[in-house]
Amino acid sequence: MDWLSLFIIILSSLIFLFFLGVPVAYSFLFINIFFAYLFWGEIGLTQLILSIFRSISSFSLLPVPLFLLMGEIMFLFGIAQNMMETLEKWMGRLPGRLSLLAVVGGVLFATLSGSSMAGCAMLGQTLLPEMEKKGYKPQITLGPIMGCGTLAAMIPPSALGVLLACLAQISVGDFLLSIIFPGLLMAALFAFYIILRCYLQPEVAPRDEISRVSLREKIILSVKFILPLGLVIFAVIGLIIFGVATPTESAAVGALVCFVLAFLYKGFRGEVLKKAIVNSVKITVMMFMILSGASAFSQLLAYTGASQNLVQLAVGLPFPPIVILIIMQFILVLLGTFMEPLSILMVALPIYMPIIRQLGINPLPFCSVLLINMEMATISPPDGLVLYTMKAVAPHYSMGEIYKASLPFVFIDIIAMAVIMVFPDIAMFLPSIAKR
Amino acid sequence: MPAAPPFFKVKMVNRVFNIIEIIVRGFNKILVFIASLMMAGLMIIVCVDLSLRYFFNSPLLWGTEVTEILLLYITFLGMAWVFKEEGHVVIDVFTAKVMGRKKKILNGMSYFFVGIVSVVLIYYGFYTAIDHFKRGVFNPTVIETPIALIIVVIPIGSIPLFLEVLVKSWKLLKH
Amino acid sequence: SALAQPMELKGVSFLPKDHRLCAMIPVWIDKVNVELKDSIKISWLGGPEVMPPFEQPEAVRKGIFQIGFLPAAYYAGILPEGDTISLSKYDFKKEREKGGVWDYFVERHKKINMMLLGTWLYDPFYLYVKKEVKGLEDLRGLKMRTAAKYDKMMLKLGMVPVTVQFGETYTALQRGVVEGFGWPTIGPREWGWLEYVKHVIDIPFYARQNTLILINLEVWNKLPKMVQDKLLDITIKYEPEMKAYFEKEIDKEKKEMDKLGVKRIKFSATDTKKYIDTANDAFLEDLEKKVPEEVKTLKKLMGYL
Ligand code: NA
Ligand code: NA
Repeated sequence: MDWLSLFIIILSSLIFLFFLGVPVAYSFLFINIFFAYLFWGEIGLTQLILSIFRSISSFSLLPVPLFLLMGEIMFLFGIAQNMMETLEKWMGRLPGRLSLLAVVGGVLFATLSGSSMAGCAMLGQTLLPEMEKKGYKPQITLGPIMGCGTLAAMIPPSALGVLLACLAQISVGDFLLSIIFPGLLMAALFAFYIILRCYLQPEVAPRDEISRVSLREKIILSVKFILPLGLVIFAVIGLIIFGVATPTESAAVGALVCFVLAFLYKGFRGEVLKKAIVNSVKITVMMFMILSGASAFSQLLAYTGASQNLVQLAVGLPFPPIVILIIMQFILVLLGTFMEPLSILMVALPIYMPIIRQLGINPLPFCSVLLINMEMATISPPDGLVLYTMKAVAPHYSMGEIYKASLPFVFIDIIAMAVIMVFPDIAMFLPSIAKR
Repeated sequence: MPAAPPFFKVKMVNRVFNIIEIIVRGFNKILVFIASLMMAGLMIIVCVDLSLRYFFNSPLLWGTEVTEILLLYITFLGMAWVFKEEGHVVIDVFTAKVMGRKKKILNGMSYFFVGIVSVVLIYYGFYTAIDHFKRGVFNPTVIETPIALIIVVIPIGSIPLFLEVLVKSWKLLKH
Repeated sequence: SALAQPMELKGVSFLPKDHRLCAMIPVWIDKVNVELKDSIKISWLGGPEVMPPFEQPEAVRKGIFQIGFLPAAYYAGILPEGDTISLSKYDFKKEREKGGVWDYFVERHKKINMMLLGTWLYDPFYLYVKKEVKGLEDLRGLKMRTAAKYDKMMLKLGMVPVTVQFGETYTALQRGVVEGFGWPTIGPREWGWLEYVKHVIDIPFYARQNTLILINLEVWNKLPKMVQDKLLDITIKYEPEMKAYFEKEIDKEKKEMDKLGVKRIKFSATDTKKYIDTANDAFLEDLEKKVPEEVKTLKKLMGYL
């Protein structure tokens, strides 16, 4: 059978299982089992077991549970709420204040965390209850939370950024510098969209009467509730800057600092602690199960030759470089609707990078756009790890509602990608300064 | 001797499933407790490793590999419990509005697929683990952990998953 | 009768296809596909994206892939002595003499259901350090980014091996979490590692690369004798060409390193000998624990006794 029919069969059976309501992780695993058995018989299934082990048992995933743990602790011990409330006091009377808070909090959290899923989980857990209490509509709560959650990977430390740079064989340091402005651009576009939407449609984010707070009080509150966050940020980033810890290790220290802070603030509360750990286990399990299924699935597609052929088909077209670039990104947008970033990168980069070099295109802006694309994949329906995180954090919303809320942010991501393609200097600015 | 009346059989089956349910719930509690300890362990190991390196210039050689293994253990020890709690992600665009009998059929099909996955993971998980154990295959890393010891958690965690599927399917049939 | 279809052999590599170290894999594949076009057709499906690298040996062994381009270190778990090929003191020609070490490794690989065809990479290992070291004494206590390949040797040299993810190495070097790393010549410059590490100990160790061309044994046995011989012939002719290519690349790379101001450090003759011996002993002592009966044979076949 040729790769195209095989690809269509595999993909449509996966989507069929998705739509049947089979949990995503088990849909992936079932398809993997079925086709592994079809291709290789029993040895295919033993290989699947080993592949599951390798995909989860990886040091690069370590920050994920640790950042989730951080979020849980900050949330359950009420620290993140206090922090967000204090940030809110500074936000004044802007339309959609709490949604804008997601942007500010998202950027702040991004300097702490390299995981979009953790970013979304943290924002969702701290902001969503408050937003709901104040009567915000889902389109202006879920969307900003997911969108701003993805900023975590756009501002260093970024686990995905590092992986991307490695796979693309470009300098990790340069790349981490080059994604900062694209990340801030995304944040600015998000903020602009939120203000615009809340201005045009005031009912989605009812203005609440906030009592005027004096500057003195704001400062006192900030010292009390923002400084702890500053301490965590400092513990994490400071450790890296002073050469004490690797980025992954700093995740563990960050979690530890969160524990210490929580105990200092609220005293040792065994039940809350237990809940924080159990909750983070739950979300970790959910994510890693999907990851294991998705990795094996990508391997299956790669084995059939479908992934390679698809990408080659697109880039072999006789068009000028910019069109090829757009097609390349577009293919990834399509793959991103149903695949997770790491798998996409693993399939696409080995084929893309030689072409980029051949076309004489600067890899830094290209990879920055690619990273936004990958972050978009995590929020583009129907399949994306941040979408699932949102669902796990806010189970009372249907996936349909979550999809609907994510769409505007998918489009904003596309706009950000277009802006950087047109003005690659946005990505080149910081690395070129650092070189001098 | 006449066959036992049907209601008697149903009662027996109910009792069996009740017992399975009690066992699997208890089993899950233990597994989740272990997974939680491992979660805390992740943080502690990495922090200890870091301090030993920074202050005493002698990091734990086994730190990295053990944390990697813990990630797999946490995932599979928690898998059945997350399934029970309906914590796994489901795309419910089409199924959210389905109700009644159709919903039951959909759920039944879903359990069927999860059931197959769990059976395969149990059978081939143990098979692969035993095969690696017999051959003495180890991870080509610093501490050379036997692969069997690592992957055996996959079938172990899949047993309560399979039992959960049974319990859930039985409840689906009963109601 | 109509021409039979050539048998398709699917290949997998532990590095991505476009990796610089993989540059000579397509050369070998092209030679085979051209010269044996009636009998076999090799298609290289890809690298880590197709199968996790550490599971690739198992996949070749079982026949999910028929050809693997893999380092022997990755299957030390099933064939501990395989990786010892790194210690060989002979060149390709001498290794392949009848009853020599190559025959030995071919036999050992058959035990794990693989046919050993040849080598596809040449790039000896070096230790790169931040501070200027003068001899072995200076190495004590240095924190080094490690991998299974160097752990034992580094410990024996009194260094402190630290596990740092590949992607974190740059930051770890920049910030001083580690003060050096082990690697061949090609790579570190491109990844920016040499921005912070300006010294390389100019004593190559494990100079014979352990990256091998492996074929599933059953597939191999199915090939007609003529095809087997031809494959071996192609590979034997390819190896020196491959080595020459990498020697040129390494030279170019060393010049680039010079431009970056990377200093090449020499040790005294005694320290140099000790350094090499430590690297080799660390390897053999470990092997002694696992397959003592093989160590003796190996030492003899590789010119150590
Ligand atoms: Na970040
Ligand atoms: Na998506």
